Amino acid sequence: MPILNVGMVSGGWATDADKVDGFHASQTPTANTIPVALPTGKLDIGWLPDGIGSGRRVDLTNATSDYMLQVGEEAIINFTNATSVPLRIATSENRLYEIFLQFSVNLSLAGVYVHLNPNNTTYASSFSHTSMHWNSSGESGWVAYTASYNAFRLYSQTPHSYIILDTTRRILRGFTGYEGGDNHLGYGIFASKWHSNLVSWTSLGTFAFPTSMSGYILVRRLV
Amino acid sequence: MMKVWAYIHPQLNILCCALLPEAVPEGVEAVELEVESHDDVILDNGQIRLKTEAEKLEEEKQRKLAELKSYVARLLGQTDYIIVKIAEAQTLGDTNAVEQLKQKYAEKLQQREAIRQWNEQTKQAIRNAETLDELRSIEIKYG
Repeated sequence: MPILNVGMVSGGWATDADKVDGFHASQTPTANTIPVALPTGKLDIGWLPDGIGSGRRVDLTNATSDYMLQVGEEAIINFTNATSVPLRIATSENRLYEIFLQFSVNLSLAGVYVHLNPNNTTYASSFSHTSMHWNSSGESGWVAYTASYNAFRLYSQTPHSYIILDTTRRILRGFTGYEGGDNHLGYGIFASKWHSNLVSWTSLGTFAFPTSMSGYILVRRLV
Repeated sequence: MMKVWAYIHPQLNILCCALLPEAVPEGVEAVELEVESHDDVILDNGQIRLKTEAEKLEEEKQRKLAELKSYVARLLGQTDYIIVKIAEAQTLGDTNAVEQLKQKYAEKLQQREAIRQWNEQTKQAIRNAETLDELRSIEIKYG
């Protein structure tokens, strides 16, 4: 129990009478300082660890069981020379996630795709997918479309992607910028839907790549 | 290569492949398989099996032919307006205009012909490929 050092001490006023246990208080985040709420009644976000909302970032790189992210909490998963990466995130309906998939390189691999397998499982003919591209050579058009695939499909090649994942509508939407190995680049958009809701979605899933890749995945729970 | 645990989903009656052993539902019997891709596993007359090399080759040929078709359509699409102009002149019976357009766009029309020839050659190379490696080495890129 902290004691406020107020009052006469040894015949005079204590020099640290405005401290608690020897620490000053402030509204501005500073080392070795006691936080004071802003006029809004909230603490400045700078008092919290890196991240947003709850301020927590959990590292699930070597997790062996699923972790339940809280709203505003984010997870980072690093991977090296991996063809599949389990996210190890527990989920359910009514969730919205923001996912950044970042590879250390962008390989130009036509006709093969990055996938997200909900529940770490493929379900035959249960997913639809559509994707289009525009590139700096002036070309544009379909990349792929199907109403009968076995996992959420992102995009061909191994592009860095930004994804919004909605577990209520079971839809994944995203965009990507990819490099073609020369001075050209491309922009792609994609959407994929799990059109069956007969299986409960309990584990966010496993990303599967067309070849061994390194990089990291950031997953932030929004709702 | 990767491991998958393949099973028939008891409620959905569809083929599923668990990418982690613990993802197999409790009480369900799964077959452990070593695969290049989870696409390699199929359900054939109620039996779970891996695709044969011949099946994978044929599938890849179809995919590559579709990719070629789409690519060539994009290349030709850039000069389709010339064909439309010539066709309009022909429809109106204006033979002078047809000849003038053919001369004006002679270079573009030659390019279109070259694209079509390359398309036929590439299509044939895809159809003749005997291995997946040979097939994958065929690049769909004109010029």
